[in-house]
Amino acid sequence: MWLLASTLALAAAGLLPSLSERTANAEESCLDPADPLGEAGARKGVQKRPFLKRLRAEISVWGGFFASDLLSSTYTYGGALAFYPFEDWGIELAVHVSPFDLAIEKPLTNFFAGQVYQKANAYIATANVLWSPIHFKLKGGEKHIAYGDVFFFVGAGDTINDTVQGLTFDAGFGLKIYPAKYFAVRFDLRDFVMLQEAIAIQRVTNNLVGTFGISVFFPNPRPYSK
Amino acid sequence: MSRLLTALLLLTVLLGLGGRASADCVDEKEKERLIAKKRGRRASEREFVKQARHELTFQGGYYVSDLLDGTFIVGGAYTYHITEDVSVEASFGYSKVRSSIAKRLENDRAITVLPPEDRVFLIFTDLVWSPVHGKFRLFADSIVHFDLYGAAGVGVIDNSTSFGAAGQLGLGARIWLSPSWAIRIDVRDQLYRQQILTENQFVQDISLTLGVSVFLPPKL
Repeated sequence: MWLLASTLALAAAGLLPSLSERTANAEESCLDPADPLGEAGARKGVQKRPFLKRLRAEISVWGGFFASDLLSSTYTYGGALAFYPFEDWGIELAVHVSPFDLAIEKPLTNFFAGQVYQKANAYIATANVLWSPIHFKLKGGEKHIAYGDVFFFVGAGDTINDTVQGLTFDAGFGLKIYPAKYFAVRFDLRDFVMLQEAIAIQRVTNNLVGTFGISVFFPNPRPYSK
Repeated sequence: MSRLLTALLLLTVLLGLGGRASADCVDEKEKERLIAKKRGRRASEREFVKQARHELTFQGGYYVSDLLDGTFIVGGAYTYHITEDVSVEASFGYSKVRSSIAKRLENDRAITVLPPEDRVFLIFTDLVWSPVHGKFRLFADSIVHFDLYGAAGVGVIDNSTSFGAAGQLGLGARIWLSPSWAIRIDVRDQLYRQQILTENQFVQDISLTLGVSVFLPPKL
């Protein structure tokens, strides 16, 4: 008697609806983990970085413009050697070569004999601390995804040129885009602060330098051990 | 009584199993709709839409004249975004240029190298192409979106030493604060002819500006 009552209670309370639900589910599909709506398609959230810099060195070559505060704007070229003890922090030795000229003096040499300013190359060597706190991904077109870093740097060094006295300081920021495991394309924008003198004018100058370059990373990426 | 308890326990277990068995199954039509929605969110729809919107920018920064000293620049720009990637821009800038070297030469040689008028107006129209849209994570969980773009255009540099017509090339980044507000960083290279005394020469002035943009209409 009790058994019969229990069975009836089961049926009334939901087992039978559950069975009818199973019949309706015949047209439904159950999710496979590889399904776009399954685990594979779930939002991935924060992911591991696909490009690792830690314990790697970087050699860069670059070229660009040197917008001089006191003298004439000109081109620049050079390169850098960097090492990353940590993923976000690195140190860099950078060299820029630029011809320093004073074009505003040129009209006067047509009027007056002689030339006061002598054009000469400037060699700027600086040591910088690099900080790459921002790792980004970007979309070019509908299918192409690339990864990159925004980095900031500050440092000091020396400029070998007759117009420059004392230390040279630099600070700036840049973008690196990683098309492959060993290569990067970079754009740097920096401000060289130096004490400069030309035609008996001496003052602290802010020189804006923009460079476009390519980098090679070596050795192989060092994945983090768990 | 114990049989009743057993039966109720059995009922609970069966109901639980039945519910779990159907949890991972989904209707085919609903599945297709969800996949299409997901695909759309990731590939075609952008959180920050520019197409058919107007952008007003106020900007200021550093202007490095080729022949003269580096100085400030302030200005603004109006941009109409024809598509997500292509836009046209009209910009205006104001600066004052002077040269400490020219001043020294004037004092030493008792001549006038530069005219007394030192203001500069920069008026340009540009075609802007922003093929790259990216995002990065800031702090724990805020995602910041940005665009990288290039610009090329022509215009006028109105200054007592300038010949007028000028060309301009530039690069920039737009960092989105919200669907209506953005921060812009622009580097522009202005190429034109400048005359000092009787000497004409092509010069390249570089400007670096930081700006704030508002997009209209603010809500889509």
